[in-house]
Amino acid sequence: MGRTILLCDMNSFFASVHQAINPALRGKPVVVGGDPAKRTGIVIAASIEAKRPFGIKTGMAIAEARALCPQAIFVSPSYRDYAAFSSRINNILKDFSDLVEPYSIDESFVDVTGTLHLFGTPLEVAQQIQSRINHEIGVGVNIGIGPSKLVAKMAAELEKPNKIISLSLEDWPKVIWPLPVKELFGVGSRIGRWLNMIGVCTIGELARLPVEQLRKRYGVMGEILHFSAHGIDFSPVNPGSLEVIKSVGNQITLPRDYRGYSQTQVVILELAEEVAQRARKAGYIGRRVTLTLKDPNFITEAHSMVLPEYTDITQEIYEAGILLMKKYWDPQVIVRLVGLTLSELIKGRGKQMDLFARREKLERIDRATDLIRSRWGHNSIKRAISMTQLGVYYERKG
Amino acid sequence: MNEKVKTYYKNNFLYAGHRMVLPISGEKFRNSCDQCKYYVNVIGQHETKRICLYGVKTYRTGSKRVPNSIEIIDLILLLGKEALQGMLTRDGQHQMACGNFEQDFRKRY
Repeated sequence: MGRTILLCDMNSFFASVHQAINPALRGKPVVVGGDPAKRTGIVIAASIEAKRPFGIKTGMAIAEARALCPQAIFVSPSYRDYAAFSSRINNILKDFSDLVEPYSIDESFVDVTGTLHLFGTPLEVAQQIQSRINHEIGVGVNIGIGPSKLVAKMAAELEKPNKIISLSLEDWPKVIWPLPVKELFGVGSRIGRWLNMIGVCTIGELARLPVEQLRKRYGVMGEILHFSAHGIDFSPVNPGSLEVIKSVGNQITLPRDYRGYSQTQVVILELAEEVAQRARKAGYIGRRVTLTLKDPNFITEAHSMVLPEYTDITQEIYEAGILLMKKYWDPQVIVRLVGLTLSELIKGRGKQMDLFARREKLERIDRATDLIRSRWGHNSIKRAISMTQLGVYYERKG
Repeated sequence: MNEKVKTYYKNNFLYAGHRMVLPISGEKFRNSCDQCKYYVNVIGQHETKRICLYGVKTYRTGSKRVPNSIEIIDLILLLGKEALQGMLTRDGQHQMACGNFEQDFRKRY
């Protein structure tokens, strides 16, 4: 029996959440963006009223968006609200099937194959989901229906907003093949460039390309591309796909350029605290630390090192970050963005103890900090240096 | 279809590679109310139920420590009988954590 998969894609999610929370914003052009004073002044999301008539797009500079639509209402992002809305939406989806896979904050796959006898035809299920999300959450949703995740995903992109689109494999060549090859899910900019270079411009042309040619160039991925172009996808809807974390990382754009080791190390410490705490929360320890620095010319450089032991200790991650900075960057380095990542993660808390119990002491400090923050909030305890003008992270986290 | 392709599909690599999840939402996708510090036992005369205390201002603002369990009589004094009854009918134990989720570190350590 064939599968029935739905892809629920929220329309202009971030902006819609602000409109749902504040009814005064409904029907008006709303732009969610950063703060130009903190050099994060780009459009993160725009409502349908701002996108269509004024041409405001995600990633555009705030100043540019303001010029295009002076009457737009600019709001700051509120990630806590987005996460709250996303959870509520996923809980609605779970009423229709236990196979719900959150794909991103505003997209989820639902496999309703086994529950169709309870709720009706795929179209009826989609209508019920759409109606509940519209009325209970207050945001618009596009729902793609297909026999696989790929077909459902491609269907949901065909027409917006607040539409239900059903696509079958029989209709795939007629509807999908004329589209540009870059619109096929899984084709990134690099593959897209190569395909264009060899004269493949549409998905149909990709489907007709010999699979051997793709396999020779991209190996397994080449074969997957061939199947995808034909609408074939065997990927399961896996509700636990987010349970495995591969890395924990954070990065921050600085409000002004930082110069030299002494200034940058404050930000590395703040990031190390955040990264280590997130790893501890999820119950992971890792041993590869990667430091990323971006200079004022937007040139990004990243270096990593493997620690002798797996860790989730703030101090050890911080020290690794400092080691990397001193090894690979100039003492007079000018920095616009700092990123720190802990990877090669494993589950568990078993750690190698050291002879002088330094690790135990550091662990106790981290544990105490976690417990204080758990009760009093993230900003209740800070490093003294974060209170100086060099500290940025806590201020931004609010 | 060869084994490598089968494994690729089985492990969901086509989607895992393109996935973008905010840390704040990833945490909520992975956890249920059960792991939240606001989700506590309410001890009644005949049974113990679980309830979310986020709605209670004293606990939400951190003025009072969120306990592991609470006597029902204390909650009635705080909320009133009617509000408490409404809260007890909602079962979030197996629900995906909501936006107010805070990991309960006491359960971890």
